[in-house]
Amino acid sequence: MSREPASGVGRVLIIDDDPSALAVTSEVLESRGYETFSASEWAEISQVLFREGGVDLVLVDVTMPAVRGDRLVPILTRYAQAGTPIVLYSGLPEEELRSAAEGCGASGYLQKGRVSGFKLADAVAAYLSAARGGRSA
Amino acid sequence: MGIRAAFSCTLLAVLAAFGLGMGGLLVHTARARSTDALRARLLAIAVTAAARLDGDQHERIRGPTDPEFERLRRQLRRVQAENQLETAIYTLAPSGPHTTRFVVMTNSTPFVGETYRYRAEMRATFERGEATATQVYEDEHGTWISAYAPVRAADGRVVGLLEVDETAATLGRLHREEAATLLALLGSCLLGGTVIAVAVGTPFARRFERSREELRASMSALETSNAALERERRAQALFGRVLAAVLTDPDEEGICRGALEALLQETGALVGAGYLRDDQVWRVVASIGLGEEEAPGPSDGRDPGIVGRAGAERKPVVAPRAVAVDAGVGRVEVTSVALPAVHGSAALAVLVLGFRDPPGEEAVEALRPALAHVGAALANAIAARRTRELAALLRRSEVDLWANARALEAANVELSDANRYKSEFIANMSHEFRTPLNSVLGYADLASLSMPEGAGREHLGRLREAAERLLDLIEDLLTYARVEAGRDVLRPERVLLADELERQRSVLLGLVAAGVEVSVELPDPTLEVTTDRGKLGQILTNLIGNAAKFTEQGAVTLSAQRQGDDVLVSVRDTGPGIPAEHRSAVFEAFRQVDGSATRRHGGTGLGLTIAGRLAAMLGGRIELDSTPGRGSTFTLVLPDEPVVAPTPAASDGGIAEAEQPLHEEVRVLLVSEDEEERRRLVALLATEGATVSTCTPAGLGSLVPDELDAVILDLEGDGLDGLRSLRAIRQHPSLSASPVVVVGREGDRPRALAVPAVDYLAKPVDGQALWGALERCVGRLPAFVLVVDDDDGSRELTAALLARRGCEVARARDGIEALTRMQERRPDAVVLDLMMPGLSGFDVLTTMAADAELREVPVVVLTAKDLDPREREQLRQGVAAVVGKASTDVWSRVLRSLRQVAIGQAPE
Repeated sequence: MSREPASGVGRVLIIDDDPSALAVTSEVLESRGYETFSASEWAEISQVLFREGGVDLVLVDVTMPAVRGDRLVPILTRYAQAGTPIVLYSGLPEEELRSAAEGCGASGYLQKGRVSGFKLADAVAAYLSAARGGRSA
Repeated sequence: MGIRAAFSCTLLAVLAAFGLGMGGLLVHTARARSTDALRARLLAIAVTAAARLDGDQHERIRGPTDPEFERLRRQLRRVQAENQLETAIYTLAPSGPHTTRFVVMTNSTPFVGETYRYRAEMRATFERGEATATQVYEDEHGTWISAYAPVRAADGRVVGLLEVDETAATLGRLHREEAATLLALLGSCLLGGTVIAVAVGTPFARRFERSREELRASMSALETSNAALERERRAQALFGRVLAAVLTDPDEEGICRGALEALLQETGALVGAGYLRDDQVWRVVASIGLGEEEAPGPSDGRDPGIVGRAGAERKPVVAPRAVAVDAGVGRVEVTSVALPAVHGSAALAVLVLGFRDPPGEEAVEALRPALAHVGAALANAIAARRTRELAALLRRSEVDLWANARALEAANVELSDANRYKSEFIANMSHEFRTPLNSVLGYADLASLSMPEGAGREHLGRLREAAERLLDLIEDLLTYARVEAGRDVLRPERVLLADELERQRSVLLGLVAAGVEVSVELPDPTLEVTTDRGKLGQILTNLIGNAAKFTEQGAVTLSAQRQGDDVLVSVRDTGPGIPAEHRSAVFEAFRQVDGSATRRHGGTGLGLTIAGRLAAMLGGRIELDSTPGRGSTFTLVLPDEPVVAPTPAASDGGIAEAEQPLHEEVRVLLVSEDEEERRRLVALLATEGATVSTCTPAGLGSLVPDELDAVILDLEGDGLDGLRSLRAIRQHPSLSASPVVVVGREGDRPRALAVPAVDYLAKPVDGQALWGALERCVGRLPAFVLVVDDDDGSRELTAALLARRGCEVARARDGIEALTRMQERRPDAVVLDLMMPGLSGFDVLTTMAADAELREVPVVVLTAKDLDPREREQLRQGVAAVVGKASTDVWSRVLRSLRQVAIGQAPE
């Protein structure tokens, strides 16, 4: 399971203020074959969102100095293509993360650490296949 | 007598009739001839005398004691004597743009230095060095004709003016002499008849004498009616001048000064002072013709009595006796008249005029209409000032209000700061710990990709496990710390226990050792409890974690039931149980009954402690029932009474409803011939918040207007060709583009609309109609406006201002909220701050530009930021207007921009 070959298909926007977090997340996902876009501020985010084709999934950190990720979710939801999973990906305590995800209407949340490395890649795959299933349904 | 007598009678009768008929004509001819002759004579005297004067000496004269004064005076006296002039010769020097002072006078010296506004004719002399003579004019001293000639310095500069006058007495004598000469001529023509008449008898001579008397009477009647006409003209001039003075000056002191100047000029008073009331004291705000050292102060001792009396009695008061005042260079005896400017039941100002000769009651009475206008203008100015002051005050109190609100907020923040800092610290710690661990785990996975099966990969697996355990520890520690900080806000809700137990059951299934049974006992599947769902879940998770940890065989059972007002949720295990003496210790931090359990089962030993604290937070407790060797039952006892949710501090609202008297400056030019109508419309417009300047149709040509939003044109009184003014406006270089609202009679509508005008209002016009028309010019405000600003004060002020103007307003504290609000409902316009945390105004603009639905929403940027050229360029593309927060008329500009934006949009 954790040593699956590169098989992921899809474009993932990763929003995080921490460059090392961006690096590990994008490397993990790229190791599975996903195309990733890293963004730390709205100018970068909007560039990715408004580009031709958009993205298939967004991972957004919550604790960012300029703006909390959960507050971005409604706008991300609007400017991403319909049905694109917007997932909180943060190191916040689980309870907070859950209520943040519920509060902002995110597709779900993944706790950093607990869901890391290939577990993250698996979770992303699960979200993507659910979204694709939903879309084709 | 016979035929001869009858013939001569008839002849004489004819002649007499002819003579009488000629009389009127003769008077006219005599007047014209004598006036022209006199003007020519005076001019000649003035020019000759002025040419002989040494202008440089003249320029040095400051007062009667200067040596030059006597020299020039002697010179002028010689001129006066040579020409047998009855009145004095004066020289004058300019003392201001419109005032002049006496320098040398051939008769009395007291007036030397006295200043007064100069007559129009003097301008040609002072400014162009031309000698001029006046027509017959009248002032308080009599009827005059004057000639002016320039006094030049050696270098050719005009340094003064020499004035030679003649009085009406001379003029009248000349008229009569002239008339007599003409009559004599006529007489000699009729010599024959006269001789016959004398021969025939004296009755004819007497009759002739009588006809001369009639002639004289008709002449004096003409002079009287002439004087009456002149008085009428002067009354009108005074009226106009006072009006012009008071209309051009917006403040009270300016109005006083203007009115005083106009009165001085028109009445011939020598000096004057204007007083405004400060509480109970009349304060001098303007003085004309008085030396600086004489500038009257509040405790002016000259005659405060008449000012006070005029103010109290609201009617003119003439000083009982003349007093000497310092008129700058010399002292002048003047009789003061205090004239109150009354409006309603109050005297708003008192204007005191000092006359050389006490004016008659009639003359004083004639000034009253003009003073009524001064009163009205003052009332307007006072109202306007009070509004401004009120607006400023409210603006200040608005700011104070915000300062107070912020101080309160700050105090609040301080109170909860300790806890908030702890909780923020904990949340940050959680984040800070997890992020690097996340990388450790991520790279461990990535490394395993390139690692062949074997020890290396196993080590990576261990590394991962250790890191995950570290994560658990962190979770527990942080949870504990958070509960200790007591910061968590409870969010009570109705929780269906069936749901919660099912969730815990599935978690438990993943935790228990193989072979341990997991079951749920729920007699009432509809059982509910009002509590914080998250906290309840956390308590149960800790309890089942504990149960799973210690239960190696048997079962863990979850159950729930109601007991009175309480709801009991139990976790029963078949673990080793807890000895009685240890039961109280299990909820203490970092205490475990069996230390080895931790080593065997992991965990921090904080689970039960946390559960206990959380239960207390929910108003409940955890009871422990245990039999060593048989197991333990942890029961959470929760009170099922509605937990009062902490009410969030009331936000918004209050300020928005607060009265906002901030003035919006809609700038209007009002063009009307009719003074009455002009004042009425000005009052109407001012009430609605417009800034009005006025102008007569005739004044349009020379008008250089300030920036304007609209022109209101009153057609009435515009003559037969009622559209002349409208055309004049359309052709005016700076008015041609202004929207014009025409006010006129209903019948004029079609003609008026033939020339492009925005609107036509038929009289009578009320404030609402007028404002409505103006709104059509300046544009209505957009119906729904989103105000985006992170600064509470600025945002709320803008919002309140718009709400007061009838807009529906949404607010956003930053870019994200702005975009969120815009998604909820598309605004008709956005007022956008640029510098905001998170998403800036620029981010919002970029996003709006990319959003097909928001692309067309007009944006007015309201910013305190100094824009660099790049930003300016960026804004030029997608923004309707940029208003600096530092600009003085910031609100007017925001509103104006919004109105313009609304004009661009199709009406709904």
